[in-house]
Amino acid sequence: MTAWTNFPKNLVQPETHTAPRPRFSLTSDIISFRKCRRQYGYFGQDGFVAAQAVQIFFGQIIHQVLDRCHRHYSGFFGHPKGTLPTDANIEQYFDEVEQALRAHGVRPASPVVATQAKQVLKTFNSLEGPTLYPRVIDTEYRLESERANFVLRGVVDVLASDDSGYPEIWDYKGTDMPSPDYSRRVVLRARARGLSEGDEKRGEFEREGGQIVTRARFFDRLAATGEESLPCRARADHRLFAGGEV
Amino acid sequence: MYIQELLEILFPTGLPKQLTSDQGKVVRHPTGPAWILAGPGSGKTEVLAVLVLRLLYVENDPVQQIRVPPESIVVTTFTDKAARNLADRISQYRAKVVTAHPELASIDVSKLRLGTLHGLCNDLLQEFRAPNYQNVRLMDGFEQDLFVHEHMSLIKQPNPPVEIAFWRAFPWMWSPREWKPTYSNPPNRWNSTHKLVTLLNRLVEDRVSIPNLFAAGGQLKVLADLYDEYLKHLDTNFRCDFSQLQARFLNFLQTRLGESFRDGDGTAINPGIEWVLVDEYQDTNPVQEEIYFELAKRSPHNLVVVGDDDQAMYRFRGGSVECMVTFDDACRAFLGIPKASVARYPLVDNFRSHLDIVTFFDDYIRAFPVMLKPGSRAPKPPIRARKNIPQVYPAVARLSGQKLDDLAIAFAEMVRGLIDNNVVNDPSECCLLLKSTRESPHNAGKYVGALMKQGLKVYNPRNKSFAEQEEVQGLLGALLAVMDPDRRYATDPSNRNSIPPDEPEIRSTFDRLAAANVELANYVSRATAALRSKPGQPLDANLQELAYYLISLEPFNTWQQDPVRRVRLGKLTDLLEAYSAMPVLDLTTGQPRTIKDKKTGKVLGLVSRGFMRSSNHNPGEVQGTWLGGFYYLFLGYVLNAGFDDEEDDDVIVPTGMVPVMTMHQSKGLEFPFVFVGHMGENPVISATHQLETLFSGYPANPARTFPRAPASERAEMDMIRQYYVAYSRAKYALVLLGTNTHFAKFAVPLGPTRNWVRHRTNEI
Repeated sequence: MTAWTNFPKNLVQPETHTAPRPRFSLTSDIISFRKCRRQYGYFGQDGFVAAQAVQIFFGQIIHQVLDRCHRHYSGFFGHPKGTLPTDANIEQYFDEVEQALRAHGVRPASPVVATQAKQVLKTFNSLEGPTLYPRVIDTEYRLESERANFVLRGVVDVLASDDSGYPEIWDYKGTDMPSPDYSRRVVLRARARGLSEGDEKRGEFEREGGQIVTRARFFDRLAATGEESLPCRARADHRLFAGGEV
Repeated sequence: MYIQELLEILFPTGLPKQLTSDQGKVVRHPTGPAWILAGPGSGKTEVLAVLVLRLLYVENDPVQQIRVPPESIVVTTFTDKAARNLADRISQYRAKVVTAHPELASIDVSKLRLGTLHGLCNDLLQEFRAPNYQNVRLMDGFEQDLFVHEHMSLIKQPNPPVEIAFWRAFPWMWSPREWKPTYSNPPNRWNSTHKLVTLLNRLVEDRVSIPNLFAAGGQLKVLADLYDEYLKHLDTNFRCDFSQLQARFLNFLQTRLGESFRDGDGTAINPGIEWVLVDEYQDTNPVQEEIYFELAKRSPHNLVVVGDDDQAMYRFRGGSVECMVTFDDACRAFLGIPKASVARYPLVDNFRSHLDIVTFFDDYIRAFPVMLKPGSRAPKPPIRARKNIPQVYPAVARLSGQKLDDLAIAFAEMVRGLIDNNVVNDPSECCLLLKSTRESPHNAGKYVGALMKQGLKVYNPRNKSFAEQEEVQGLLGALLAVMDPDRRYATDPSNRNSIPPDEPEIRSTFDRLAAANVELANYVSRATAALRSKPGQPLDANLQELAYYLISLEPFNTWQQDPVRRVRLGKLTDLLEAYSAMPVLDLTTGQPRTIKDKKTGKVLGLVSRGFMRSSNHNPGEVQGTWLGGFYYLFLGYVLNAGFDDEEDDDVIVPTGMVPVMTMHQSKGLEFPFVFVGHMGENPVISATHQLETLFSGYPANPARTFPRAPASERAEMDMIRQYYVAYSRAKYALVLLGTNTHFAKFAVPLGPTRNWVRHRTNEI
C-alpha cells in the first residue's frame, strides 16, 4: 500500500484560473503587436529589453524640450503664465536635455542631427506654439481602454481641446533623419476625428465620459489579415559593419 | 449609489460568492486609518477591490457622502503581477456597475494611481517633473552594482589597510567562503561591491540618520562619508537607484510641489490624494512607511493597510514586519492619532484550506513562545476554516523514510498514485515546497530524480543558479565566440585576473550547441571573418543587437517557446542593455570618455560600453580593452550574482508538470496537495538581522522607532513565518516530508517541542 490510498478518488475539484489580461500601450506596443504578436510577447511581457539605437536621441530631445515648452507656457521655470518660449529659451532647454541625455549614453548620430532637431523645435514652437499651448489640457496624459481580451493603455504626449471641444491628441515623433518639413516627418498630429486611413499610428478616438475609447481599427484590420500569426524575428543577416554584410 | 446597491450589483443574491460580515465591515470603513489583518486565504484582494469600487461609486450614503475622484486614490501592491490582478478585478467589477448604471461610465478608473510603490514613485516624480528626478536613469540592481564598482573610492582605489579596517567593522556580512576578518588581504572587489551596495541601500530603507552615523565616528563615520560620496556620484552622473527613488519621492512630498500633488491645487486634474490603500503591508520598510504616512497627512488620514504579519518573508530585501505589527504606534507617531482610535479589521475566515490544515497552521504559529511576546504579532483572533470539504481523510500528514533516498521514492510514488487514481486532476496540483530547490543531493535533487523515475515531468525553474542555466551559458558563450573566437584573450596568462573561472564551461556549452546547430556555427564564423577583414573599425551592431541576432537562431529560437527559458533570456537582454548603456570611464581621469567632433572639438556624446571596435592587433577579435571589460565586469558579475533569488512572478505553473518551488516563490499561490520538505532546518542569524540591530541605534526619526527583539529571536520568528506560509498554501492536503531522524528530533519546522508535530499529524 502506498501513501496515496489514504485519499479518496476525485477529491480535488477542478477549478478554472484566469490570468490577467495583457496591457498594450497606445503607440509603440500597438505597432509591435501588429507586426508580430509573438515578438510583442517577448518585449512587452517577458522582460526582453529592446536594443538601444542612436535615433533615440531625436525622439527624446523633441519630447523633452517640447514638454519644457508646455511647462514654460503654464507658468513654470519663473516665466509668467501664458508666455511663449523664445528661441533663446529653446536653446537653453535643448542644451539642458542634451546634457542629461549624454549621461544616459544617448547621443545624436551626428552634429547635423542635433542642429536639425534644434531648428525643428524652434520652427514648431513659433508656428504651432501660439495656437497649441493655450489649448493644452494636459501633457503626458494617461489613457486606457477596456477590451474583451486585453487592456489598451498608454500615455499621449499632449491632450488638447479643438475648437469644437473634441479632444485632440498630439504625438511627437522623431526620426534620426528628419525632414525640415516638421509637420509631416517629425510631428504627427492625430486629430480626434476624421483621420485618414493608412497610417498605422492613427486611430479614431472618441471621448466617452472620462475615458478615451479607441476604435479598434488596428485590431480589426489585424484580425482580418491574420498578420499576427506570421513569424517575425530579428534577422541574423543584419550588417555587423556599416557597409559590409555578415 | 448607496453601498447596499453596489454590493447587490457585485454579489447578486443567490450567487454563492458573497462578502462575509468581516469583509463587509472593511468595505464600510468610514474614514481615518484602518488596519486590516488578513489571514491566509481570507480574500483580501477581493476586499481591496470592492473598497476601491465603493470609493469610486458610492454617494449620499451614511458611509460616504461624496464619490472620490479616481486620481485621488493611491493603491499599492508588492509586485507588478499583483497590481495587474487587482486592476483587472476592479475593471471587471466596473463593467458590472456600468451595465447597471450607464451614467457612471464617465468615471475613469484608468486614473487610479495603482501599482507598486516603486512604479508610482517613478511615475509621479516624472509626472510632476520633480526637480530631483529630471532626466535621471533609474538603475536596476545590476547597474547599481556596476556603478558602485566603477565610481566608489573604496572599490576603485585599492587601499588594503583602509578596506580591511572598514570591513572588519561588519564581520557578519561575510561568509567564511568569501572573506574572514582575520585575513591580511581585503575581500575581492566584486564581493566588496555587493556588500557596499547592501549597506548603501539599507541606510535609506531603514531611515538611518547619516549625521548621527557620522557623529558616531570610527568606521560608521567612514560609512557616512561613503554614503555622501555615493550621492554625489549619483548626482553628477544623472543616476538613481531603487532605494534612492523612494528617498527622492519622500523628499518630493515634503516640497511645495509635492504638497500641491498631495493636497490638490483646486483643479479637476489635480484634486489631491484622499485615500491611500496599501496591500502586503507586512513587507513594508521604514522609508516606505514614512511615504505612506506623508501621503495620508491630510485629515482625516485615510490610510488603509492590508496584510498579514505572519506571512512576512522579505526581511532580506529590507522589509520590516515591525511596520505592520506596530501600525497603531506609527499612527500615533506620524499623525498624532491615539492607538485606540485606529480601526482594526481582522479577516480570519479562510476560504482556501481543509479545516485540519487551518487548525494546524494556526496552532503552529501560536505555539512558539517567541511568537507570544509583545510586539511579535499583530493582535488578531484565530483563523476560521470556511471551505467545506466533506470527505474524511488525513488532511495533515507526515511521510517519512529511513534516509532521504527512501523518502524521495515514497514521495514520488505517492504523487504517481494520486495522479493515476484521479485523486488530483493534474500533476500541477501536487506542489513540493523546499527552502532551496537546487537539484543538489540535500535539496531538490533526490526528489526530482525520484519523480522522473516515475515518469513525471518536473517544473523547477530554480534548479540551478541563473548563470548555470543552459540558455544563459549558451548565449554568453556565443557572444564570446564572436568577440574572442579562439579564446586567445581568455587564455592569455597576462589577462588571468579578468577572466572568471567559469569561462571554459561557458565556451564548452556554446561549442556543444554550435556542433548541433549549423546555422549558429555559420553565423559566428561569418562574423569572425567580417571582423578579420575590417580591423580597427567600429562595429555597426552594438552588443545588445548582436545578442538579438544570436537569439533569432537555433537553438535559442526554439527555446523562446519555453516560458521559463524565455524569461531567463529576457533577463539576460536586460543585463546586456544595462551594461551597454554604461559610459566608458577614462583610465587616467576616471571621467566618462567622450566623442568629439574632429573639426570643432565639440563634445558629441559619451562612449558607452555597448559599442565595439574590431581589433587592429589581433584580427578577428574585438578590441582587447573592450574584451577585458566585458570578461571582468559583465561576465564576472553575471557569474557571481544571485539572480536566482529574483521572483519569476509572471511564470505560471504549467499543467502536466509537478511544480518544485521555494517557499518564497509560493507566496500568494495555493495548491491542492502541498508537500513540504527540509524539516530539519534551524534559524540562522543573517547579516540583515545584524544590520537592523546596528542601524536601529541611529534613527532618522526618533519619534518612530520599534523595539527590536534580539537578532536570534527575529531569526527564529522569520523561519516560523516562512514555514507558516508554506503550510498555509495547501487546500486539500498538507504532507510534511522528513526522514525518521528529522521527525525524532526538534526543529523549528516541526513546532516548538519534540513531539508537537507527531500529535497533530497522521503518518501515512
